[in-house]
Amino acid sequence: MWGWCSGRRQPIISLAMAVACACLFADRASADDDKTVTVDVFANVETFVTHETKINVFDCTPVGPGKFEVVDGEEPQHGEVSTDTIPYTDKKPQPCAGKTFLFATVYYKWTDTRTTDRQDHFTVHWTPPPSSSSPQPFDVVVTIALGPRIIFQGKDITNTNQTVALGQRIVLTTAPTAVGQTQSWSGDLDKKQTVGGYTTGAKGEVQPADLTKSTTKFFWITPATKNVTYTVHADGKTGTAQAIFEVQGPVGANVATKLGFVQIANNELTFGVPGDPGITFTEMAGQSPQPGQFLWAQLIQSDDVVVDLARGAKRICTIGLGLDNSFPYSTGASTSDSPATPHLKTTWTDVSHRMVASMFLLWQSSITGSIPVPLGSVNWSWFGAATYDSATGIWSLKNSSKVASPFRAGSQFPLWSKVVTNGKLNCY
Amino acid sequence: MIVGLGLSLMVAVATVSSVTAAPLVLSIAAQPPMVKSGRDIRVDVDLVNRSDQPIPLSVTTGSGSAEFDYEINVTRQDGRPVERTDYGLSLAGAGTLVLGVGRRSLALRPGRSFQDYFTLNKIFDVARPGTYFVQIEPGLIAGKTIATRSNKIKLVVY
Repeated sequence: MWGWCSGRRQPIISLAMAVACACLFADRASADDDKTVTVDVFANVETFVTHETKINVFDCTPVGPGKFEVVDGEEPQHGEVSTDTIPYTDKKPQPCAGKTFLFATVYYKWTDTRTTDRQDHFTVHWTPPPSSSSPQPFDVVVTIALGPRIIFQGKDITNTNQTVALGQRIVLTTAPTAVGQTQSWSGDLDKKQTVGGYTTGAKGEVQPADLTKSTTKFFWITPATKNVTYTVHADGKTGTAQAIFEVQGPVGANVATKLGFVQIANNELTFGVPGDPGITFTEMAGQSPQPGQFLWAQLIQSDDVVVDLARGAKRICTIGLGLDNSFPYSTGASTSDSPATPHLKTTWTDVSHRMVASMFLLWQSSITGSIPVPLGSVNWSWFGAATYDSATGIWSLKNSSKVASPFRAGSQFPLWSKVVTNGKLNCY
Repeated sequence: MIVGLGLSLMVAVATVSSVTAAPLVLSIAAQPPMVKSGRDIRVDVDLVNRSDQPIPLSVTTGSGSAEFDYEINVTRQDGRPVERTDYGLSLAGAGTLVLGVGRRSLALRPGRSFQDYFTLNKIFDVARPGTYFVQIEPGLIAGKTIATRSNKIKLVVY
């Protein structure tokens, strides 16, 4: 008694038969009891469909691979079928596991590049040995594989448009993934458009995005339409997937500045007083399509105070350079600064204060996990010099200046390695 | 013995007085109210707008430098004022240090509060064990007519 081998079927062993005849296990894309095979393929890639052979399961000797033939009138419409006879070693715990046999094998290649169809059908007959045996039909359903997929927030977004917020945390995963694959992300993902993170503690630092893994995390820092392409190489094949993102946030950001006065007030040499700040910044960009809020951050470029003491002694003091006190400096559409040398002393004869700073406007989406994204900055400075009349006990302003540059739009993050705080200056 | 002392001190910590007859209500609390000598004594400041109008404030930038916004008064149990550190003297116009400060404007909306803090031992010499009383009043942060003195808190240094 002889049996024939059929993909993914258990050996046909009948206890009623003293001599068992069985098929060796045969791999194929997918099969059911009606011998319908389904297979996913990439375009122009020859793909294994199924294979069969006939053996004597009693002693695991080969009978022969038989032969596959495409049934006339049931050829594929979008590709080519080819057959071959190749050796194959079954690794599964079958009666003949580990032995190598020749298999009649069927391949398919999707060659039609003009069709919009995504499926193809054909039927093959496998005729086991001897050639007089009855042919066994296999119906094959081919689906052209869609290639790698891009997953965002649990959904396949390949070839779709997504709307996200500026600074929103974007985590893209992919499927399928294979051991040993290499991959990369490209498109609108360069350093001018994305960062991998932004930390705002004792130091202000930007981390670059890692675009070499099958899963990538990044934040877009400019609003626009962004194309993303994922390319994967595996098993000698290359696949790509694409998606488009509409990154929404404030567009056309602008900041208006209003300068106050350098003066002596409340025993301070100050640029501005309560109710009339030294410099006021007001965001003029209007509303974003996405909910969020404006933030301000100020970097001190220099902040120096020179004190003349009696008898010609001089003290030069500085607060240093770095982040002005905290991040953010404040939130909302407007902010101000009134820097001062407070508590002028009668032991001083003269004092001067010079400060150079940059105020950054940022915007942060309300979506959890978003980072603040810079919209631009204003460079500004002030200077004041005052002298003390010991006869009258009055401080008077003798020189002053103030200037604010126009708002410069851009996506440069405020970066710092030190935080400077109100209080004692370092003098020498 | 030590436990008993600690309990009695904890009972002694309380708000002594509170003043609330102004649009801006100022209150303070020590964190913690009982402190081992040499440790930082943080005093939290809470300024609440009890009016029905926004109130403009001029506040120091950042946080933790509320000594530039308020006038701070510290006395011992017998009512004597507590000596200031060099930094505290400099805040009062004496001392040897040169100071720098930045302020920003904000409008405190009705019902909202503005919170900040200062480090008491940075300003006053409260290293000696004993009982101290702390009270503040608005400085440049707001006019004295719209915010009166804070409550007075009792602080134990052991």
